[in-house]
Amino acid sequence: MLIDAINEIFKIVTTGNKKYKMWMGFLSVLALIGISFVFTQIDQGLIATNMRDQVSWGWYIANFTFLVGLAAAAVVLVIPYYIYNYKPIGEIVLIGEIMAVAAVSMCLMFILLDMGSAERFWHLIPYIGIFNWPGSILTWDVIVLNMYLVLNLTLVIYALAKTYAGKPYKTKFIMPLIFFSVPAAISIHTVTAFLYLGAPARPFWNAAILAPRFIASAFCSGPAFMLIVFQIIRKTTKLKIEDKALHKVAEIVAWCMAVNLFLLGSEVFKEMYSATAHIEPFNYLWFGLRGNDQLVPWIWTAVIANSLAFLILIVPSIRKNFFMLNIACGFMFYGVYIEKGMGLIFPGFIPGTLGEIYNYMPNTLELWISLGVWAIGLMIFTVGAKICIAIKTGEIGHALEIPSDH
Amino acid sequence: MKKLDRREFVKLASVAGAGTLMPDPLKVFADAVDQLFGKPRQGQIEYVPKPVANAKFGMVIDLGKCIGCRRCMYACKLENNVPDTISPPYIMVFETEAATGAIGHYSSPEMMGKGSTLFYTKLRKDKWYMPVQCNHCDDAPCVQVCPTGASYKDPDGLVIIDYDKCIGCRYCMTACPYGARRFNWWEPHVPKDRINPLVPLRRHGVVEKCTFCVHRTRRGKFTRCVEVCPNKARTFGNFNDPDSEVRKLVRNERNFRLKEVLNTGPRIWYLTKPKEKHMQWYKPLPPPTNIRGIRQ
Repeated sequence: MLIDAINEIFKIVTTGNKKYKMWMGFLSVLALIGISFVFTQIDQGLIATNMRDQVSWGWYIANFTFLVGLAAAAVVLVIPYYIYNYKPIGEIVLIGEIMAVAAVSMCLMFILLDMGSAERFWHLIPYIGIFNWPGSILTWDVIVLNMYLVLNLTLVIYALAKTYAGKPYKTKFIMPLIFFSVPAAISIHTVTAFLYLGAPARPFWNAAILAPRFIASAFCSGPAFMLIVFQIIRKTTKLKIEDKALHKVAEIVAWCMAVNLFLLGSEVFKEMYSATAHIEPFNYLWFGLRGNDQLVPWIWTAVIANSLAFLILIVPSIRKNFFMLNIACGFMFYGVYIEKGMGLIFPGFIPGTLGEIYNYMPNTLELWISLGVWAIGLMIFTVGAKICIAIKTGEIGHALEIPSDH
Repeated sequence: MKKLDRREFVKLASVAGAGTLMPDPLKVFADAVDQLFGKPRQGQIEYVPKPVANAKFGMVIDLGKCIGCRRCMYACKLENNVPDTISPPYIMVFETEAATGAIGHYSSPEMMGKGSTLFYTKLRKDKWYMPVQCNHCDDAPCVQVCPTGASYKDPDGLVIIDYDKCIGCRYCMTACPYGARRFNWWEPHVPKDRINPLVPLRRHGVVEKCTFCVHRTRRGKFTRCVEVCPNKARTFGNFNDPDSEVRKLVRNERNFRLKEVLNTGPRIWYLTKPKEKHMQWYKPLPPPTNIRGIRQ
């Protein structure tokens, strides 16, 4: 039975229509280019990037921060379906969880790429390595990220295995895990936020508002991505996703973006009204500091994109128009990517603790490597989603023989 | 030989490619043993002596006397095998307008003065010079955030990095409020005739910083920067010793510490009373290479 299942799944992954093959081919090319640049980075050391002592965390950590948010957003689907029993979301929860798996895998890849001595990653394994827990928030991050990855993998594999075998889920097994995934998602986010906000040396980050802002922006970016993906899935596969499900997710996202913009407004007020010496990183980001203004166009376009997306989503009739909804999703994805990536990480280091300004922007190597990591993550997601849809629609396995609606 | 068709070529190429990535297996094994057991191998010098019992080391820097000659910076670099790829070296000497600890160019000139510079201008009697290095804080944020415990604080006050445990995550560099830590972005190279055998040579991918010359101070000597200062602007000592110079200075002279409000408990005190500056000791020395244009 297992061998047959593996054979069938293998066939699903390796066969597909032209679009699937072109998509996977494109991603493979990006991944291979990224990997070739990784060789360069291993050979030369991290000097091959644009990071220096003054800005010691850069593009890789920026992507990592954004992806942690993406991973946590699976909870936006879990809460309505399992806790509020909003049935139309049922088809898509698993795909959200597969996205969480892909996002956390990308996070782990970015961390390994950013570490100076990556072959010593085993130092971070509890009991085998030398783990400074509970003092270091990084150790907490290692624990919760891996826990979230294992949790989501378990949920997905369990659900798909049961569906394949034609049996209903065992509620006693799956419901505690699902309920636990909600605080787990919040925790990966909060712990990552604590990484930054706990550093008194960096006044741009050392504010309690960072943790709620992370959650608010994560719940915008993740579902934005998912909404577009679900529409693609509706068009290219047999999986039926009701309009109602997508509209509900869009509604939730609208309020999350409201919270995000409100928290941004709060930060702006605090910095500009109190106007202490700590306003320097804020000024560097929004207005330029002593002639250094390369981040300014990025953050302004990001916040304008977020605001436009909010205005589109807040009006139900515009929100229900799929063309406008997709524009809003694109805007939100871009806005949160910049806000949480460049708009959070880079100004934390500029100006530095002793007032130095190093105008950091990622170089070609960093950009190609991160594209490669995204490509690998998207490949994981595509493969996972394809298997999931094939099993759920009954293309392989015995899904159609399951007695009751679960 | 079999004809080399496309498949064979791809197989060979991928094996060869993977082969270039393979590290030397013996070195990896030795490295892992070091990391696990941390004991010096046969014949190896003890790089980090045992902490001195009942000691609480600290440093006092007299801003009234410092002329900014930067001898401390160069001596430290030679003493600790700091390669040219670590820039600036462990000690940074700022030229400031006043003895306030306000390093950095703040937005309100009336409040904070015209700021400071790290770059090597002509030394002047009307300016103040302020060396900054690792403060070996009592409540060091770098020790708190290190995920592997590679950065640790010893009972005698020194904050030391175990280079075998460091994974190069650079969280400590993010957490240090004084910009004291350096990362080995390049593979470091120190010319053979300049190597000090008492100090370990580091590798790429680990963080390093001032160690208060742990190989000297735990063997009864002063730090190199204190020894070399021509104006005797620096003092190093044990605060637990009631007769020590450092204790007298901190208790009797007007002083401050950097960023005290952050409660890190830094162990370098700066004296602020203006004193006679003996500028005759200043002889121009070539500045170290400035890597990648740091602006202020």
